Amino acid sequence: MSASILTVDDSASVRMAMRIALTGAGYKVTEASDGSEGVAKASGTRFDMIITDLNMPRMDGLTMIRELRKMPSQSGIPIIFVTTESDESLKAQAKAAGATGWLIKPFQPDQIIRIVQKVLGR
Amino acid sequence: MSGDNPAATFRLEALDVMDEVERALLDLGRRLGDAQLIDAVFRGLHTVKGSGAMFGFDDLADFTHHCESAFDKVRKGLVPATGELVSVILAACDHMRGLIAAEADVAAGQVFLDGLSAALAGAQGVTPVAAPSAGAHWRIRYFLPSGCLANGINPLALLAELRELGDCQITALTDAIPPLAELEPTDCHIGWEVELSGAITREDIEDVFLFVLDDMEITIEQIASESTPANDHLPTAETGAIAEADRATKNTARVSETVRVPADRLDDLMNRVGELVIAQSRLSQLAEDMSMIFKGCSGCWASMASTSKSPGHGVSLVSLSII
Repeated sequence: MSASILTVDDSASVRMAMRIALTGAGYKVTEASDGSEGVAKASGTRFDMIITDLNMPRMDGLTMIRELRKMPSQSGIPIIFVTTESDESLKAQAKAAGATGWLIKPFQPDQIIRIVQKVLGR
Repeated sequence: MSGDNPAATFRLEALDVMDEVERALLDLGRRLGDAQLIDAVFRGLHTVKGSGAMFGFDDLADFTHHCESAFDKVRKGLVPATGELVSVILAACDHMRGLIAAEADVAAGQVFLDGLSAALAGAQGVTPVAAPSAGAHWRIRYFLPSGCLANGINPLALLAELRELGDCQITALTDAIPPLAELEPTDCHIGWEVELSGAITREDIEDVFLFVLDDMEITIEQIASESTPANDHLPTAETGAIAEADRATKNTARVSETVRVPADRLDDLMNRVGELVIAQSRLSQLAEDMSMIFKGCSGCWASMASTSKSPGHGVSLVSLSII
């Protein structure tokens, strides 16, 4: 069965790029445009993985990760955050919040697939 | 809007980013030492370059790469931000806009790049890349960080990645597993010692642990290679928190410390740990639900007690046998 992935990003083009790359590799993709929508969508189901931006309006990625990790149902779900190389402090904060790993922005389609396979082990 | 066309969506967003870059450059022209502005320009150019490459704007990505590299040097303090450099990049922004709109003459970009070269001072060092050593033999010993299972780290995926690197022998280190009553299901109490052989560099191994390397206990030793006698052990640099003392006692104590198990049995063990984590999550959820029910019952009980004490209801609670 193909893994289901929730992508959370306020940029429509980044969401689209992720969707094209992930669906092309056989993953099922659900999208959210900010942290609040991400929490709402994750609460209703258990995704195999969540990929999120950090800087977003309404609810940012860090807050979303903290909210998700408070929910027993979201324990153990890999959460990958998207960051730029210069965001070392954000990287540390996101890990402390419960993130699993990161994806450096900008990324190529094969990079996101490689990270997903690395984290999911498939 | 651009519908489902990533290139059109990218164009809109890239033009917005260019607006921000130009604003930052104009401000930077007045405050040349402002690190935030320098960083803003770099990030904007970085985004345009990376996203451009992602959506097939290769000419834009190539051209922007030069400008981004220049600002990376500024950001790292290798080159000072000068008025000339800012002016050249500002002028180059128009060319980038043209490339975003697919209207610019690609060759015309050379004029800006020549100007950029003239404006740059200093040189950038080159970091040598370590070549894989053929037939290298590594011993890796590691324990994953606390809470790793709750944070989505998959120990089996890490082992699978190590296996993909070369010939691999895995030994589970089970001494740290506590009694069941004390077992914290979101921690991985098993450690591993892995012996790897093949054309493998230290970077290859560290890349496997990319997301946990800074938080975990790990030693990576190159113990022999084809160019080195097998009995000439050459421990190299260590990464992580396992101390020298641990390494010194490891060789003498290994027999009593470790148990060798087949990989499939190890996988089964990890599956059981995963099931424990899920079971704990379900129990926590049930506890939350039960708590809500008890709170509801408590509220009803308080309401009933209050009602029964009122004068009117007191009458109705008199035993019918008395009447």
